[in-house]
Amino acid sequence: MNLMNVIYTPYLPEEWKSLYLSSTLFTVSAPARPAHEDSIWSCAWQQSERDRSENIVTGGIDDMVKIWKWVGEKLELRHVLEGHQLGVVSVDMNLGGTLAASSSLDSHVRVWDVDTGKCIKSMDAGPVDAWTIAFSPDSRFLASGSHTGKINLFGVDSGRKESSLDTRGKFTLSIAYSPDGKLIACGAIDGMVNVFDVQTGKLLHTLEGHAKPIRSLCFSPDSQLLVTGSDDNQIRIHDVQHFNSVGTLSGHGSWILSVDFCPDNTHFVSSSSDKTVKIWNAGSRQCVHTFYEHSDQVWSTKYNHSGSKIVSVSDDKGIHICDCPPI
Amino acid sequence: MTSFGWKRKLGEKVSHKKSTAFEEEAKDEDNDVIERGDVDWLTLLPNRKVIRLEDAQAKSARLKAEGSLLAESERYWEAMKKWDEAIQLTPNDETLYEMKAQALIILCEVFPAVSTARKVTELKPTWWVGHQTLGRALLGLGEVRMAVKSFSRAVHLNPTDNELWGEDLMWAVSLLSRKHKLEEEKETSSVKITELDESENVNTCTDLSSHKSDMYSDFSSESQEEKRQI
Repeated sequence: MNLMNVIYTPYLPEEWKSLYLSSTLFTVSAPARPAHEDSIWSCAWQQSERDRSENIVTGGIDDMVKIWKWVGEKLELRHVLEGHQLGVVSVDMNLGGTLAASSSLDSHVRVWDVDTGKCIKSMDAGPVDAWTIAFSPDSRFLASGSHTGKINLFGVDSGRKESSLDTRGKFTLSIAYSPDGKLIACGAIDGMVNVFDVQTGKLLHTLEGHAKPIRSLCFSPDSQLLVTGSDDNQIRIHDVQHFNSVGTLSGHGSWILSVDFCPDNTHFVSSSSDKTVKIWNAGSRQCVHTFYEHSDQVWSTKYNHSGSKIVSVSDDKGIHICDCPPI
Repeated sequence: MTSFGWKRKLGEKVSHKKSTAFEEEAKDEDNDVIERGDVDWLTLLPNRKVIRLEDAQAKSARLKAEGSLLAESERYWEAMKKWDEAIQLTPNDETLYEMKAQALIILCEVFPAVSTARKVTELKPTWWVGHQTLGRALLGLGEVRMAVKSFSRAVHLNPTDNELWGEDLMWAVSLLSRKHKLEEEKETSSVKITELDESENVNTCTDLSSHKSDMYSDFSSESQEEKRQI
């Protein structure tokens, strides 16, 4: 079984177990010891442009943000970032992999330096005025949804609110920049998706389709498709050019908590309250693989920069790294 | 006239030999041997059809409604009896446990409240109300930190509920910060006690004693005056 990924950590070899899955292509590494003290809610994975190191940022209900380094076949803890007073709702990294941002339940947004682990900026967005955060592709802005449906754009350098876009809708749960930097899409608690033009700040389109909160959405790398995941257990694929629904995917048994597109432009990953992580083919709209490794709700999942691995974090306090070679 | 009558025997046309052949086998399987003259009471029992007026779901719903009616008139123990009965019928209905937990919180049965509320979150982890109730139960138990966690989970699932945000989460957080403040004050106040000099202590004591002696003297003089008057 050469395909098996046996993963060891320098401090406790038994901490990691490797699982051999049915399809022989997918392997999972899971630490036996919890990565956080309690539920993990959010994660991000980027390669640093400075030293090519692969960094994973996680944040959870225990108020901590942790930066991990993926070295070869193991996960090393680099920094423990303290400062948030309440649970960390969302984390994101910029495209260069040098900055990390986190937002907490008490609406504080913090920007961290990934290498040093220092807090660069701390912004108070006001009560329940920052939820999911997203870096703009040029790393200049941080977009965040808010209570009134407004999208706030924070300047990363200035540390202040620069502008806001008004959806005139309800609470904005999820937000995503298109990789070409032209569009911002946001999903609301009432199931509406609004797409904005970043340059003009105009609302381009409102997509209906979900009846329940949209907890996650993402663009395809070529910015042509938009994938949304909702509490109605369904994933929808929208065509960004014509703003119509291309397909509806069902397969999860509970809420969709996170979606992320693979850099290969055809696959995407979704995680759900039903404790599973699924990989889908956006072209054929079929589920390619299902991971049953987590023992509780999987709150967030992300691809690495090359699309060869997936990180997923869950209420079971664990971080799982899965191998997923091109299919 | 049709020749139908209950007197007509069923096995009329079956030969006696064939019918008894099976009877013998059947008898062997039965453990209880029915002796001659005895009556097989089981076969004689009237075969009554049991008609269920309502299935488990409907009965559970009825009991739940009855329970909530009782709870509204603050008869919580009786309400809980109804809900317990309903739980027997539909053990996976998380709303029953949630109502029971609320009643337990009101009755200050803190520990059962926490365990019942925990059951709710186990049954349906995506239901924010369950986490809210668990948080309130934990507050009753005095576990403020765990309560903050539960409220955080509830807010994370449903960020739009103002009551949950303001009255539960923020209240629990303020309790935590107040506790921190009290602990800090305790530390500083304990330092003050050690700073007290012994001489000061003695001084205050002597002051007190002098006061006392004055009082006594007053009293004694008064009583003397009274005596004189008499």
